[in-house]
Amino acid sequence: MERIGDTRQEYTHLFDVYVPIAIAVFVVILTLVVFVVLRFRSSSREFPAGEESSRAAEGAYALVVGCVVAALLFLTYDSMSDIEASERQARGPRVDVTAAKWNWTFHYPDYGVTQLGSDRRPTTLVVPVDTPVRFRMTSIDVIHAFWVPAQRFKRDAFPARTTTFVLRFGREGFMQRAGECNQFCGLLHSSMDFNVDVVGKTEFRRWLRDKREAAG
Amino acid sequence: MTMAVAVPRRRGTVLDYVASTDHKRIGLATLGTALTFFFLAGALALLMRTELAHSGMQIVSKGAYNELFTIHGSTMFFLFAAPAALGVGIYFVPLQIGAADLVWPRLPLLGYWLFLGGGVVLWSGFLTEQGAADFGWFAFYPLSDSVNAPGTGADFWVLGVGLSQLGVLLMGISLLATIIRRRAPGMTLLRMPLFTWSEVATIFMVVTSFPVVLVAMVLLYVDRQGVHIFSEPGGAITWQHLFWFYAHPLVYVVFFPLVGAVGEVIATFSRRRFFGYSVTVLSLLAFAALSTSVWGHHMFTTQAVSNRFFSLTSTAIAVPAGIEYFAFIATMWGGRIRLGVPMLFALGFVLLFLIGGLSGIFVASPPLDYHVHDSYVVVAHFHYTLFGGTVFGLFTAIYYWFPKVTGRLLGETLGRWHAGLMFAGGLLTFIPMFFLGEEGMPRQVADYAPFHHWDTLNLLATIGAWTIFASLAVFLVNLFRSLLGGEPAGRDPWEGQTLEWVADSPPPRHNFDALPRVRSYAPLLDLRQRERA
Repeated sequence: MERIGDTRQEYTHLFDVYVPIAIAVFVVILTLVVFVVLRFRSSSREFPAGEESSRAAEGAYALVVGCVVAALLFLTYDSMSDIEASERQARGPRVDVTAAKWNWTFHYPDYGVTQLGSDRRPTTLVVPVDTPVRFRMTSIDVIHAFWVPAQRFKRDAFPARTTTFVLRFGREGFMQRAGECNQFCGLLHSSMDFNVDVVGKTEFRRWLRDKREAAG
Repeated sequence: MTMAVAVPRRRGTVLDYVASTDHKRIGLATLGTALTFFFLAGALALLMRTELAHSGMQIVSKGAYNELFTIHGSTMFFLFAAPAALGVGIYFVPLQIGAADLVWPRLPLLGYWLFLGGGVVLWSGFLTEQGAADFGWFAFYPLSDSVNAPGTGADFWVLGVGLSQLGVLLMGISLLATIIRRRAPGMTLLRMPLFTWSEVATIFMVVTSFPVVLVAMVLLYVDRQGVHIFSEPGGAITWQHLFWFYAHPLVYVVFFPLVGAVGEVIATFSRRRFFGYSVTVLSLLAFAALSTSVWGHHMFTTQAVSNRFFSLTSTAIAVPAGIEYFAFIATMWGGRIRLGVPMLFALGFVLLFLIGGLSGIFVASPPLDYHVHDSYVVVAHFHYTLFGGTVFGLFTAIYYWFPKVTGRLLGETLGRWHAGLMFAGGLLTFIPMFFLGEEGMPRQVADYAPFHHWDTLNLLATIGAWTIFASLAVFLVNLFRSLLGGEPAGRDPWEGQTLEWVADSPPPRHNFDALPRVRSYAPLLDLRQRERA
């Protein structure tokens, strides 16, 4: 059973297969090109006769590439199923995200708590550690995107549309500007960040209670 | 073969140049204009890279930076790469198939003027009060609507893209008709040179996808006048579908003809027939067919498309692409390889484009794309396809065919410096971007915070960009030296395999006085092998 909402783990699993294969293919082709150039470099003026094609070799080769493609897709689909299943199974706290030019608002609908920021002071997203947090997101103006590189995950925020996702934050701690807007959205796009504060589960409940009481 | 009777050339008037229906003049004008836009857009890239060399804003404002990357991307795609991809074909396809001219030659002539006019309109956005368009080259709605982008420069962008892409479409239609109707006697479809086939596959993509961008631009223009089109619910997603349905085939359009050119250079400089010709032609066509069903991979993070479907089609591209690489290497195997400058650029294409292709498989997996989408990983990925593919491919074509166009060779030593510096610059500029993106640097940002410690990698990329600039300066010196007094090339300096090398250099108005018999896709190689036998 995968850990629900652990997008970082899903990413790392696939990365560890895709990237070594890509590097291996690059090295093989680089070696072949260098070898062929060194081996067959010649100032000879002849035009060598030789095979013009080999259906067997080409067919076998295409089959091998096709099998690699199929294997990669299998792993990708498997990972996608995990991510989709996490949306159905997650039972953690809900956060409503509203993106705007050029700041973020995080609203906790079950507790009536809202985190605000401004163009100059980034909003802080407070989440409990090791809990699948359920996000619903929209935008009030243009398209933005919610990206937390440490989670290896992003999703777009649209005006007049809701997108959803689930994230599980693995390590406690305050991360300055750990979240970024990842869809170009105009003048101050490059500074449309948010902080992420991952706190203990009891601390999270205490924080919500304090915020609610402070709001009256 | 008979010699041409010497006809005294009448000095052309201005009207002869602007209204000539000679495919060579249209092709050369298109290539020259496209290269001019390439240098302009490159200058914008240098400004951006210099701004990004360190964290903090140094040389431009954030607003100006947004204009820079919008016009850089727009110019490189709409005004450089797409017209250049077709322009090479307008010049060389008639020569390769033994035709005297294009079918419906006024279409590409009109196409050229629409392209130039569209380019001038797009760039004149810089002269308007609120500056040029600043919503990115994909103009996502509603950032591109009249509320978020009220400036005249944005209107000019919409108009310029529509006009220039209509121009490219007209060039493609005429070229396809020419290939169908004007082939030399004996040149069956499966005896067409590889480059001509790659133009066929390219034009299939152009005629399928370019009408969609015309529709999209008209709709956006009307929407910007206050008519509700994309502002209806779902409009933002609809815009992305329309735009990417055009723009993903577009990114294949811009390197496809150069796959053919690189293949011919590899065959010529290996003194061998291209290996696996018919399978490669088939893979080009399969590639083109797939190109119209992969656009949704730009929308993996929208939750509005079937990610599994688009992941399947996008990853499957690896099969036809892999076959082309197999053919490149098998052609060199057992050849007599000469490392002339065109061959150096061709090898640069093979290696750098490979990085773009392999990273493309990576971003075609949605769970991986959820992290790297719109990050510098993607910037690195597509620059390896566009810089490694289109730019290296185009310079392969330029060094290979320059002697045919001008009758003179480009300098060998300067050419080697150009190739070497551009290859090093291509690695130094874009490799650091993979690491920046993986660490979380988004694309299209004017600045980054110092605590990320992205300064060193960005500085490396900036040094790389200036290295590319140096390589292009070497090219310009080489170009002008050769134009003023380069070594005469003769008809066939490389011992080429296809019909353009039978024509004089430069070819006369009617191209050919006589044609050899065409019995294969390498008719001149047939002749040589028979002579030696």
